[in-house]
Amino acid sequence: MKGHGRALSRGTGRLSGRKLPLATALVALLGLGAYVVGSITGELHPGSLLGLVFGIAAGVLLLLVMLYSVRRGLTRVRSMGRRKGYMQLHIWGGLLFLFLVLLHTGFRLPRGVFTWTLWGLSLWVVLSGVVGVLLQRSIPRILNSTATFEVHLHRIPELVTELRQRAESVAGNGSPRVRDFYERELAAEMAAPQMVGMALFRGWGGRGRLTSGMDLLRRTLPDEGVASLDELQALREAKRDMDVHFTLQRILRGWLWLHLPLSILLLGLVVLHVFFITYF
Amino acid sequence: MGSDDHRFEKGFFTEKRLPVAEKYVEPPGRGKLFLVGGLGMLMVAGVFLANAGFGGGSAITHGPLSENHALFAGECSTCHTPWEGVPDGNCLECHQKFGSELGHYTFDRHYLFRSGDFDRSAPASQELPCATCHREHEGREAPLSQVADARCQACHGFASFADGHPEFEFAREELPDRSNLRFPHTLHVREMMDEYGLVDVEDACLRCHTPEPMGRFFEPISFERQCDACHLSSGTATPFLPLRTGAEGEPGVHTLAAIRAAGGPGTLWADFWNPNEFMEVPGQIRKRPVYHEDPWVLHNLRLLRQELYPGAQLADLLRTSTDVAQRDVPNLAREAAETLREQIQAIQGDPSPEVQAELRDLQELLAEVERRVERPFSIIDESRFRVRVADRAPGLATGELDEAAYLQVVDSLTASCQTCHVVDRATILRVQKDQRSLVRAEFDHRAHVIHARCLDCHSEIPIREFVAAGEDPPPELDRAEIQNLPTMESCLSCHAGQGPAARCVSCHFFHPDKEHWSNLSRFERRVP
Repeated sequence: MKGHGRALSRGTGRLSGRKLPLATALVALLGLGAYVVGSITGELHPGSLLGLVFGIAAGVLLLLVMLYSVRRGLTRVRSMGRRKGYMQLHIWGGLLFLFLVLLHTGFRLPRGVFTWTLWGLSLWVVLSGVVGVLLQRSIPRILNSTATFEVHLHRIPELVTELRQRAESVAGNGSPRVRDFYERELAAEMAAPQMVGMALFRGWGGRGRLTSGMDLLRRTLPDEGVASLDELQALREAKRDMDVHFTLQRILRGWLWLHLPLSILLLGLVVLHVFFITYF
Repeated sequence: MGSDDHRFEKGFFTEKRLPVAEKYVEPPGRGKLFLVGGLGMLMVAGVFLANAGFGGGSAITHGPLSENHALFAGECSTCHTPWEGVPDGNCLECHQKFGSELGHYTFDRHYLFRSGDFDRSAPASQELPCATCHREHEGREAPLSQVADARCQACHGFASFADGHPEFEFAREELPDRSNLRFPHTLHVREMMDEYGLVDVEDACLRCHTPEPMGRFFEPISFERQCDACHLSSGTATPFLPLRTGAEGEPGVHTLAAIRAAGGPGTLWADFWNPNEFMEVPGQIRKRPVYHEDPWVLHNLRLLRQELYPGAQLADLLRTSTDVAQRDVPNLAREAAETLREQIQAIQGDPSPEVQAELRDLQELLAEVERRVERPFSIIDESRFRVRVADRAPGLATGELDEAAYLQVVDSLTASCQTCHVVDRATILRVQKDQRSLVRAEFDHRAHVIHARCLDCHSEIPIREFVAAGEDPPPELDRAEIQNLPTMESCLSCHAGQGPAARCVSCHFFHPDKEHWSNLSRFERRVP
């Protein structure tokens, strides 16, 4: 087993970088060429010889692509090779899988409920995977340029509570106008982590209105009141960064709900598809 | 940058000095995702399996059935057998009610169709299941019988109709038209145009070549419909013919009275025939009028043939000789059976032991013929109906029989017949009535007459030119033997490239015409 793992690891390692995309493109081109030749010289449908080859290749590729999850679950088994190689295989193999499915179906829409489900799931799983790749690449960049710190998603509720308690303390020790402003404008926002709609676009609505409200208050407060207001603003900025983290990291993890369970469903239905074809 | 100093203070992070975690925060596992995916998969798979088991498979089918099979929707087991797919046996439950080795849908049937050539056949183990070519679940409107060319090209090694398709057999082998008629087309077209005042040449064609109701083919030529109006009028008579004297080697014809007196099979007509049609002078007789298939003429011709070719006994069961296309061979047997029935009917009332013995022989022969006609796998050797050289009377070789004298009587007897018919070996050759010369293709006239006139394609005989000139062409240009059919070149002038239909199934059937079993007539290998 270890030998197989190392071999696969070496394979995926060698194929990662530019080699795997090139290999994927080559296989896709070969498949397309076979499809074109097959269409011209013979009858091509899922049940034809070439159609079956495409279908079997897609099924095998689906199993290989799913090895990424196996590798990811076995973090301590180093003999299986680097996770990055499996990830590369997952991404490029997934794309190739969809292409082979399209070749298998002859680029035609299915007609039955089951085949529609299979076809739709294949499309969904691969497209959601592509979205996942894009999120994996773009969200860290957004966080890096937007937030002033890094924080683990699962610590955010605890830290937001810390920020809220400090804010309540500052407001409680401040002037009545500051306390009133906190209760009216900030308490709800500081209460818990929030999904901020514009996080992906580095900002969210309402910020300008709130800042102008703080400015107006600051101009009419005595000096000791201004210090409390500044502290509240700093805590609110920290909470804002928490919310950006909270939003983007939840998107990053939530996306997986759209991808992984449906991938398992797809795998199961592919097995069922093979069973139906063999049985009937 | 004062605030940055606080950011990296031990135990805290950010400007707000938030506490770092006391221990490593374990990233959450994906167990829940797998659990949800697994449960969802089990649920969805269960729904589909339940549908397959109890719901008629409506959800797992990969498409609606064709309209031909629509009523089987929900009854998967009608066509599908577990672990076997769609075995041919399930198709044949409906499509072939009889279990026969050479059933309509077998490959052998395809190989032998109109060829009888066993070298063409392949082992049954190489046969493809019906479902390989007839693909179901392609939707209500999918035509099951419109098999893709690729299926045919798996065996037939040419790319398309326009690329490598063989020339028609009649053109490739330069086979003559086997109409067995003396028939100049131009003469008839001109007379038809004059008779009916026709302007268009094609209108004259359609006077005789009558399309079938569906317009695909033409009705078989019929003497009564097409010829009778002009040919064999009440004035048609035979020349004076020598009467049979009974002397050995002296050819002659029998009088009506002699035929009645002799009796025997096939003479029942003589009892009811009008004797006034005969003019008898010493030693000679003539008949007027002469009818089509005149029994007196045919009977005397048969008697003359029996003297010339005594070995050709089965030929007497037919009115004409047997040079027919393969597909017509069973018709010969049917005609022979009909003759036998007439003969049995004629003699069955006679109680004499000799006649009864002959009756039993005839009935046994009839039973045998009927059995063979009804069983498509039995051998029907049409050559036994043919008048062969080997059947010649020995006296012809020794000079005891004067062949020239016999043939002169035969020619005189059939003089009015020979206006149109060909007589050979004292036998009128059988006319190919169905006008179908293509052996393996089915030409649909209806689909073509919209785009072309008759003589655009049937141009081998220059009818149009000579009609326009008001002349008859020389006989070598206008004979019934000329295949007045277009060749592949003519077809390809339209059916090439992106032109109109040029698929295999446009002209061919993989499964032969159900009514024509003649292709099996030479099927000897498997006959017990």
